[in-house]
Amino acid sequence: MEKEILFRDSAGVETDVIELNMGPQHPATHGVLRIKLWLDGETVVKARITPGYLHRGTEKIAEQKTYHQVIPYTDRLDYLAPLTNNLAYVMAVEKLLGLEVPERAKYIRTLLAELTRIESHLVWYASHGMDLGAWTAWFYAFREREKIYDLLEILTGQRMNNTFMRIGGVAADLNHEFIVGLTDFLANFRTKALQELHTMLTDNIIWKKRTQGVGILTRDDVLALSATGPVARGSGLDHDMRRDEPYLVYDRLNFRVPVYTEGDSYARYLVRMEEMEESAKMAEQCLAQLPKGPVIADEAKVIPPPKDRVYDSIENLIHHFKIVSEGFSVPEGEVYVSIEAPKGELGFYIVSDGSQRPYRMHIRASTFINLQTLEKMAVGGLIADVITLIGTLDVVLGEVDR
Amino acid sequence: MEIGERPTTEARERFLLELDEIRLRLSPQEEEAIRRTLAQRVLFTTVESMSQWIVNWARGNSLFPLTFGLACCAIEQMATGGPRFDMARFGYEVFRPSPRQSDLIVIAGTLTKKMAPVVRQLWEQMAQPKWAIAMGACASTGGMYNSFAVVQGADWIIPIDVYVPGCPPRPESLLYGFLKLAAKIRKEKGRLYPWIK
Amino acid sequence: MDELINAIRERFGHAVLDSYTRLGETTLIVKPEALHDLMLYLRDSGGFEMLTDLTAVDWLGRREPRFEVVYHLHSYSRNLRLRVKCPCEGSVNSVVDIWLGAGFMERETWEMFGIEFKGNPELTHILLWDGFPGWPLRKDFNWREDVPLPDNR
Repeated sequence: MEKEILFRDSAGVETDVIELNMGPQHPATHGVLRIKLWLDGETVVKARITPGYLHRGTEKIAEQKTYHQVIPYTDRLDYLAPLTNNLAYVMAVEKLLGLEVPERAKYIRTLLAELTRIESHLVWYASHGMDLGAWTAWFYAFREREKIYDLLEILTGQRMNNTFMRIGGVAADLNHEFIVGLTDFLANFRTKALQELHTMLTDNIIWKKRTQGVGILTRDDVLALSATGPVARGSGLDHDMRRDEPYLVYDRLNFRVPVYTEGDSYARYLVRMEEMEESAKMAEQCLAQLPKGPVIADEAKVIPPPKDRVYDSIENLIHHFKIVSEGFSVPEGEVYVSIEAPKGELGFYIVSDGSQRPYRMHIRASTFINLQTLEKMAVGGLIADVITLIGTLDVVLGEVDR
Repeated sequence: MEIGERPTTEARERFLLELDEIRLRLSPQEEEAIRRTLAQRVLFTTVESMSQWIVNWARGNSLFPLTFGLACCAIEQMATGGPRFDMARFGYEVFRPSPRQSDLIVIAGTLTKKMAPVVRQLWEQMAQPKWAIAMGACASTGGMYNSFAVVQGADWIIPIDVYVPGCPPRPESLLYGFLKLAAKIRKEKGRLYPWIK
Repeated sequence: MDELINAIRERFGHAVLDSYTRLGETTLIVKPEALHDLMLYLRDSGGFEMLTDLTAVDWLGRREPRFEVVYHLHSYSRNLRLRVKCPCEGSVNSVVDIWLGAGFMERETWEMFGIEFKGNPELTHILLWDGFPGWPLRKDFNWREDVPLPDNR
């Protein structure tokens, strides 16, 4: 913005535009986001986003790795919902391979995807609340999140960055302890914990004043700026890929897609809160419908033999060694697979040249593209509302910068 | 010799002579016993080292970390401050948003080349005495990101005191890292009066 | 979908190089000259309201021309997806005037591949820093390249 633009305030005094640099180290930027603001007094005249402070070159690294080796890198994109990233990637590779996943694995994947959605939305709730001064809300959300961590640790052995999905299925079957714990958690979450979260913010007058009417996006803005996920559904764009382009077993589950037409931060807040409830319901349905059977496809070209058989015979050992060291080749072609991740549409565009490594892997990061709306929403608002906007977009810099 | 009277040179010499006579009469076992008693019950120190100990103890037990997270590890750092792991038990809960008020920086996550000058500037803005913890594999060595955009370890940019392994480390690991740092600070010498060069 | 492809083929003639459906995904390959008009047509008459994704592929030494810009379009009203590919030598027309959301994606593709988007008002670095040497996602860029640290503060 040009320096010479002068503004006239209500008293008729000419004022200069102040340039303010927010971030990359700022407590409310959820990581290392940098926003340059041009201010007339307290009003934002223009905002310009500079992401990239966490650009790790994931797309370039993926070209050097075998298809299996890429899975851990996908965890660390949106590290608040690692399993959904795994899912989008393995679904893309499976589509290229033409691999059919067993029914039980599909249910487990759906279950984990919904559990991670709750996990991700809890961090959004915690940090969004904390940014706007609701410190107690942060503790309540993290208490629930620790329970999900425990469950995932029982199942996958790691609190976050689980790397649990495999090409062709999942790494292990659900164990009894996990199922019992999950049933308890979901019942408690729906009846008690979620109500507590609602009590703290939903009707809170301060919360309403900070979010209602702040950062308004119309349906046309959303379409023009390619925003997806809760940001789009808060602005009246009635689209959810789980319902409209069903993958896994979503066509067999009964759920509602919350849509609000107000387009402000409060509408997006309500969308996410209701999504958490729907996710809990979906996870319960998955548990109830869970069929019996294998959890990984029987495809010797892609999937290494089980570990206990590897030590018995030399053939299995060689087989295992070949898949781990050399990888498997994927037929030539290109594929774009996207799923409804907690933050919007997460897509993987993979081009294969028939070798063991992706020729090109592009990640359609939902938050990177959603972030564009901030430049529009911030204009005309107060500088304090920029904090609300960062929270309401639910940005995760690992995914923005890749 | 009366109390309150300074011993004259003469009295002092007489006292030392008597002491020598006593020592000559002692057997080695008795001498050993006396030395042990003294070591157990009496602290020989100087004002200097006493205040050093107190200052180190105070510093190590109330570090003010900078509110600063880079990547995945920052979420575990948040969890460490959260209700279950509760860093406040150890006195590290006061996260300061400004580097000028904090004395500890936790490099929590991948340090990229674009971020490196910023981290260096933050480190230079922090007041002495200051410490740094590298949390996680990326901050320690670059981790799994051996690419054109990532600094291969935060110690290329700033001096690191404690390295916490893991990807990401569990909150317990981070707490252990904090306690290790406190133990390290307790052994520090110098830096007593940071305003004196 | 077939009607739409036929309509496009009729309207744009030789500018459409190829079109096929593989793995359930329809792809349209167009010449760079007709790209902007085609996109405008797709948005206004084809019902593709949203540009979901924009990226590129470098076919160094494998195909001519070297680059391929890939667009993924999404129609909410018809629940359809379409991929448009545009082989080019490093310069195509920008679609930022059709979809405002193309701004970030074009900047990213420019900085990663060095493909120029004619008409984009601010083609500056977004994920990397100003003065970054080279184009990282090109195939002739070493992934472990020892890039110096930025000196701007």
